[in-house]
Amino acid sequence: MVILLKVEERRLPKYMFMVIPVVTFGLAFLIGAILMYWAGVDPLSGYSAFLEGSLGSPTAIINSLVRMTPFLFMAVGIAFSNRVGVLNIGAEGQYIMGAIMATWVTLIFQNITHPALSILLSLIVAAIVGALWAMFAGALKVYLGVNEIVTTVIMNWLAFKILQWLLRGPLKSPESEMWPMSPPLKAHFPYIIPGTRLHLGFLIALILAVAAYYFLFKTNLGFKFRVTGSSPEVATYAGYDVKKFVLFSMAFSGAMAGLAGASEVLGVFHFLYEGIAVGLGYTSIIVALVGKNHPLAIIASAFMFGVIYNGVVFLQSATGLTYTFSKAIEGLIYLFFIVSEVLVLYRIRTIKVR
Amino acid sequence: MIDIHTIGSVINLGIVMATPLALASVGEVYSERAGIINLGIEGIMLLGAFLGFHITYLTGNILLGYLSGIAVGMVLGLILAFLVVTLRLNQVIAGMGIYFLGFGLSDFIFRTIYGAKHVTIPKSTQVPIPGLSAIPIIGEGLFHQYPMVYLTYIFIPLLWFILYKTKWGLWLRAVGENPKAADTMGVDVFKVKYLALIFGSSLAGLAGAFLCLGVTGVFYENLTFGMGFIAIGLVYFGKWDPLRAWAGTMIFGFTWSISTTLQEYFIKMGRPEMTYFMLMLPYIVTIIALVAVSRGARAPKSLGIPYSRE
Amino acid sequence: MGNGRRVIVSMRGIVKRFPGVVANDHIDLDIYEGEVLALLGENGAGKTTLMNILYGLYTPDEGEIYINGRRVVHRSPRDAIKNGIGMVHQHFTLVEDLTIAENVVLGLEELGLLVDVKKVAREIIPVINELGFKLDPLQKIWQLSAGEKQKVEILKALYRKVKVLILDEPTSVLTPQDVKELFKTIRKLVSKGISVVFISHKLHEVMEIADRIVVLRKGRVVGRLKREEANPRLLAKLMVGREVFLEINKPPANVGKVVLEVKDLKALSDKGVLALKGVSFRIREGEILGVAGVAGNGQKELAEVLYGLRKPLSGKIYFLGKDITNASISERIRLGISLIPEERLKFGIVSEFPVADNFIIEVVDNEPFSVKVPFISALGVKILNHKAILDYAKKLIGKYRIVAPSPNVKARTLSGGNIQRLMVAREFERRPRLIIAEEPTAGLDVAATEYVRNLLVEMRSKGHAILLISSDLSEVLSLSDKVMVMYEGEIVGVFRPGELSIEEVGLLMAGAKKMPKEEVMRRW
Repeated sequence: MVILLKVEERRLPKYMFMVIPVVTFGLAFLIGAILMYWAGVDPLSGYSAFLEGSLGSPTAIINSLVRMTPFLFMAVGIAFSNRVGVLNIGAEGQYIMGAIMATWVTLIFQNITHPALSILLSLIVAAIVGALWAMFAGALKVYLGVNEIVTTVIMNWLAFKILQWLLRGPLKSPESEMWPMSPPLKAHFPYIIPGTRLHLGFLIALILAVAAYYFLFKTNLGFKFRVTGSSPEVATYAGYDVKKFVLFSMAFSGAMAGLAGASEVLGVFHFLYEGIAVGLGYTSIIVALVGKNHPLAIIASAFMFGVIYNGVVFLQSATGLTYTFSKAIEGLIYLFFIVSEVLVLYRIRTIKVR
Repeated sequence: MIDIHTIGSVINLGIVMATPLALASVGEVYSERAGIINLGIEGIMLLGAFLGFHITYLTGNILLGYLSGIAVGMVLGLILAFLVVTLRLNQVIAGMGIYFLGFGLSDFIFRTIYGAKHVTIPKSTQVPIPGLSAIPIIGEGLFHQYPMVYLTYIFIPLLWFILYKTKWGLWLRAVGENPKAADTMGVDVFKVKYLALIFGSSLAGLAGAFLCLGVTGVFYENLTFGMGFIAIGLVYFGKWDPLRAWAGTMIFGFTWSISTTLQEYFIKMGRPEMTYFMLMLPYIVTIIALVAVSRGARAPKSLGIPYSRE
Repeated sequence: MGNGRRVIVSMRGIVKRFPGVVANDHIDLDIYEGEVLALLGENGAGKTTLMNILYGLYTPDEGEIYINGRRVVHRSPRDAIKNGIGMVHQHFTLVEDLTIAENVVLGLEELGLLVDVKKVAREIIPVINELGFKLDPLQKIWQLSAGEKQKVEILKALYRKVKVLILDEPTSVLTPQDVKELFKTIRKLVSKGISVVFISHKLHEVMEIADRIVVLRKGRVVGRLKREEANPRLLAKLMVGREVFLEINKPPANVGKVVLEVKDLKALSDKGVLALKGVSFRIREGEILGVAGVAGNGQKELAEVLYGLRKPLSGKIYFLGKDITNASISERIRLGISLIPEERLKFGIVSEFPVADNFIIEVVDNEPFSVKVPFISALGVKILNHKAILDYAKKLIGKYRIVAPSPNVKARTLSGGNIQRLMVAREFERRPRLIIAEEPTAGLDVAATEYVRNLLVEMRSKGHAILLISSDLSEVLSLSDKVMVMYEGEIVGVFRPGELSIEEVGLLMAGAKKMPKEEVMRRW
């Protein structure tokens, strides 16, 4: 007797699509509880600290919004380029470069011009540099056929090395001998709600997300972009300038990641240090996936991840676990998500053949 | 660490750094020849490094450490194979998942077990080959090496031979070029893909274990620093040929060892931050190498495309 | 039945379902020793599916297979090969990068661990000679012609000592001369006691080569005949279920000015070989110019160069007097050129998008589908008018009688015939001056085929120019005003349907005869 596996598509009612994220997160948190237990931590107190810190009060929610901002920027950018058929794994590197440029420009202009102008300039430069960082890999792909996955990841590491070098060299703050960090920035984002940490970056990200949605789904050019992503062959056949679309979408994606970096520096930290690069660019890939590459859904998805990242800090202080816990959970969420999509949408039948 | 003041020692370090890269890269050559790109190598290397470290610490036996690296690679390879061969998920997306998982788990488990403790493990040492190691410069570079390095001297040419001169290699190449043809000729396409991927992953796990047990002697967060991805890049650079990929890893290894040597020089000169500048070099060189070689590179036809009969 | 020969293969009650269709509906089939059995049917009747089940590529949902009286289960081609079943598919299953020898021994059980290609090559030569083929086993597959590749496929099967050889539409890529050689080979195999299953939809071939004929229609067996009992009209009727009229009502030609002029066009194929070797012709308004020829003689490259998907090496293309040799695809679309591509699912529709969106992929920038907005429209960005898009979709669905539950369903849910209608609707509504139709009725059922053919004739009457590329010779002959025969990248003959006999056309297609250049040029 032999057992064969067959994969068939299932017909499902619409609400099942909601089930997937719920099941995924549920499973991941279950495993998280098991991991916590194994690490000698009480899951219940861990999770209650988590919830309290991320959603338990207006301050907590606002802090979650602050945490969600870089995800929102980057995931929208990644989703955008995904829709055109390009996976931007280089968000992390573009984010770092954006943070670097924002710091550098601010340091130059903050004493010369009005703070608002300084901020505007640093945002523009961060976006442009992020775009260029992305387009370099994109151009290599389009014109030389070099695999963009490999080049973008290597450029991520390169960006991190550049950051490390600059922080110990040209951008090093004269006051700090111990930690590598830049001088503090005087021109930084204003706070939207005074007394809280909610800064301008959040608003910018939100506006851009809505704009991206509108562009992709309500305009003729967005329509063409989506066709290109869904079927590059048909796009060519219909006379679309596919190369231009691909490059533009990578540029947009890179610009968003660059803005994310600038936003963290100008809005949250007000200086540059190595700790800004903790893999948010990679996490944003997961955020985009969970948000199904739809800018509006990504707002919700980014919020979820903002909650997770915010809550984990409280989890840490309550239980002694480190932030690596959230990295492990993240990986599980991702895997469960992609598998559950298949399992819910398709059925694996075993056929016994005698 | 190694005394890096002679050319011989620079060669030595270069080969040392190239070796884990070579293992991972040649493993990926096999995987991609069967049509599967494995982006999870970085995560597999990290878990292999961690488990190698952990088992060696527990047992004091380096060999067991290596074996556990291989084992972890096999397990992750099996998971990924299930995702991309049976479930036919997008290979890039699934591979990134393995990367996230390996990265997160290796860190988390390490911190949980070891915390801030500083432990030492028995580390592999370099063993000279009598006679050969006396040759000036080259002797010090090539023949005064870790046992694992000697292993690669034999193993990688063997893998080249298997790929081109045996029936397994024939099946592998056929499956990667035209799985439908191989299937109709009675080759078990799914088995070949599974085995190729698991094999590649186990080499990646071994590579990670060697990186920890042979090179650094200790585990820390992100100790692979993008090596897994560079290994994939070198597969492209080597045009899916094991020996060419190996040559590519040497380029990276030597860039690394040269830049490390220069670091010492900069520290002496009182400009410690230039060490970080030097660390950028291997990555830049890899990109340049890729660009130089990529024109006209032809991947196995079915790379990235899941196979199904119906 | 069967002259007292024994039954080698027996298939009983075979059922195979795919999403939305029953491909095999309780089929019984016997194959006798040493016979040529033809499986006849239209595209989609279930012939290939049935044989794929016998060969172990598919598993049946119901039913059993018996070989020499013993029940067998084929989980993979490996099992089928072990039981003496071999299959040559319509699309070659050869690894282009490897040699003939390597392809032949791939998957062979007795193959030792070490593979010495030269040694293997020597071992294959006796089998090559036995079959009368002329092949060098060390050649790489990509160097071979279609006829030679097919011989390699047969070689593969014979090397494994099959008792039953299944040939799936083997003549679709062959010249008439190749076909003759193939039939000779088949008879040679049969004389050795091997059974050959010949899958085809071509009546005259089946009549020539088969001992017995089994006709399939819509997944069922509708007729079993011996060759003596069969005649073309009867077979055609069984195949389609009604009387088949191959004539089309074509009003006389009303030809206007020259729309397309091509001068000495040369182009390379994907493999870097010269695919078009200096082609020149003209097409006029209200005219259908048919391109006859076995697929693979440059027709595909011609369509691609005319549409802009491929850059020519040299030569000129003039459209309505304008030089468009290097024009972009979008410019050609704007000027009024349209292409109906052969690979519908890949190039013709965006499968994941709604049907409504598919109608406008080329015209989305135009009013009323998108509307200008101050400021940003300077950059080329306009707002989509969803209502206009939906109205247009509804209009076309009605006009072209496309069967779709709603304009918002995904395009891939449509059947093949309706996908073709969608594409045709999209293209024809633009009123293109020139239509390039590549295999427009391939794989369609009879109703859709008739519909498309009539539509082409209608467009012709309205004054549009059509370049019809089709490997269905009868289609080309019945629809076209003029026919040009392509062989190895050259136009070897131009004629009006009826001027030449089928044999003469066949000779042109095989390159055995060529019209002199001046003669060809004169006919434009």
